[in-house]
Amino acid sequence: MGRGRRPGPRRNRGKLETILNQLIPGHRRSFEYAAWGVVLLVLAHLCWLQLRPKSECRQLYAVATKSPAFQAIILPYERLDRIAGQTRDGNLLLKLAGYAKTNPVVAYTLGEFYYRLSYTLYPRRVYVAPADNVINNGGDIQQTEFNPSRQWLQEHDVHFALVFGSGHADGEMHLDILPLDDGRTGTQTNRTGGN
Amino acid sequence: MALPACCLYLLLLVLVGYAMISAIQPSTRMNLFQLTGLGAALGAGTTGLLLFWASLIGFAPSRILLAVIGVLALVTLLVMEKKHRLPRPRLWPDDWEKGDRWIVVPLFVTVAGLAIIAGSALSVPPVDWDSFAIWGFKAKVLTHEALRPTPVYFHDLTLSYSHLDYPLMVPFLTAGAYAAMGTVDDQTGKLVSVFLDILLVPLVYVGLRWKLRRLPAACLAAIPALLPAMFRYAGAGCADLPLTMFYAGSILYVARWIDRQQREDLILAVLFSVFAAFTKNEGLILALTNGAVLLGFGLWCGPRRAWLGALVFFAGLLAMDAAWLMWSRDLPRTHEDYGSKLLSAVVVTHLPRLKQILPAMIAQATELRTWSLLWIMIGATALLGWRAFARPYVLALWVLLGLHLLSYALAYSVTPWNLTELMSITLDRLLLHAVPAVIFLAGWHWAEMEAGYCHARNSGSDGAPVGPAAVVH
Repeated sequence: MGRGRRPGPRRNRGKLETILNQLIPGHRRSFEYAAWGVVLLVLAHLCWLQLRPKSECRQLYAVATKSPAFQAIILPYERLDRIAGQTRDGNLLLKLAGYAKTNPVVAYTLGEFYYRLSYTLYPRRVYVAPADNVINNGGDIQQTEFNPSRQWLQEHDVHFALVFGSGHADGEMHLDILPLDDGRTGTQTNRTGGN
Repeated sequence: MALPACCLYLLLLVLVGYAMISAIQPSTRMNLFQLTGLGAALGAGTTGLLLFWASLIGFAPSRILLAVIGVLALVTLLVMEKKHRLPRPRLWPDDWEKGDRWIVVPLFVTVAGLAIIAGSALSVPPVDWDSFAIWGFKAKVLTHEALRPTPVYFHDLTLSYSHLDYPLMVPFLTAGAYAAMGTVDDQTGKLVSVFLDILLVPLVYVGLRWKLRRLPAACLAAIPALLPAMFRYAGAGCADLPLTMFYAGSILYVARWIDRQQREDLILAVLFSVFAAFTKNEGLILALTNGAVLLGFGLWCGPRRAWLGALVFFAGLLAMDAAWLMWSRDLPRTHEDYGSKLLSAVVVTHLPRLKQILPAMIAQATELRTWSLLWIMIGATALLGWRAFARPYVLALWVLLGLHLLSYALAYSVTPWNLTELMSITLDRLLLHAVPAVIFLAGWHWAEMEAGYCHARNSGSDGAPVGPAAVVH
């Protein structure tokens, strides 16, 4: 018997060569080219997607340049933000009038108004329901019967009422500001909104 | 005056991150992407947590508080400098390879994409519902009041629509910007949102460069910067992209720990998981998944260190998230409350809804106008670099991705919303959270494919050793 050593197991990068860890001949670069092809295809497609009309990139450009289409989106928010400026101090009461109390179509807009006003006015408050009523959407506001007493309004430092309403089931929504400071509730002072 | 103050605040975040890196990974070489990606992400997460803890003991974000944080960061840096352990950032790498000059192409595309996102985000106030009704609102509350005593907002059910129980990382970081500016200027404050959102790109690049050469890493890192979903949500002021960014950091360092079992990787995995858990409720599930995978794969590689690693991970996660978990325990959960539902029997009774959810997720992932070929690319690169399946860290990331998508599918199954409506609105945003895992997998499979080629090349004829383990940042 000769003393020659048996050839050891083949190794790749210091580890035992297995089906998952095997040498690839140096000339077989086709996999690398394929990987490059896939990634470059993805990048080229992504660039093309942003060059299309109505692409996200073009929409952002419209935002940045304040295009008319964008103005139409932002206008309702600017109107609501202006309301915050018109109600100088104190908290607000949001009331529903007319079809706004029952029309499910306006629930979305109502929720939007309430969320935006609550955000813009903070640390002032917009009261729309008793504090233990869960409001998760405009529909929850419509289901709330909230008619606070004069004393409650004074205790909560409410100076204005915002009346969100419509005279017609499919009519334009409007938002009116009513001062409550001197008890003259019901006097329309400023018609501000629309949707 | 607001804009310079906000920019100074962002510099503070980077400074805090630099101090954190120097404390965790002393004396390492650091390049520009590590400083702006890893450093800024660490700084943002740390500052958000510090502001939260300070608020819990009665200090709302203020300039004094920010100055204290800045001084602490500077002291840390001075101490490390004195010990000669301060990492030195390199602005220009000295290990250029052949073909790396082409990096200008993906770099240009990336910068262009991010510039468009930033420019448009900063030109308008927040108008996205979630951005003002949930995150912006909380930022205003936290600017005005400390968490001790608990502000009325957090128990006011008429504001339930704003998800009173959502974590507060993004609101605190925004409140920090308002404090720095001295005013609640939500348009300028969006700079923080833009900053957090686009950090994802350098962080993904850092993760790819761990194993991959510079040029393919830059090309893959350009993909998130050009994704339509990124254009849709970046800079809006929501928490989805910050969560994606922190999650990217967490999975990167979980994978590195599984591969190398180095102390600093474990610390960074814990930190990024904590940041993710404090950013969105989904983040807590993802953090727990990270811990489970870290334990499972650790046991595979070496039981003793695995138990130690998992113990440190869960202890760290619990210790740093404990304040939030305890403080938020009593908050009203009057909206979705996925956490309780996923831990109840409801999840079993709703399992049949997966028949609707899973096909919708697959359909969304293959929606070319939203994701291009991203989710198809991962399959192609996995096939081409199939030998990477032998690597525990790659397998771990596949498992993480699977668990990630499964947890979201289960969350959809228990939603109180109309499922079809909800999925059409949110699915692209939730799949965005998984983008870093997809890109890392594509890159690491690619690296393994190249490693095989390079090894063969080195053992046979030409070239320098450029295996995956040889790549330095």
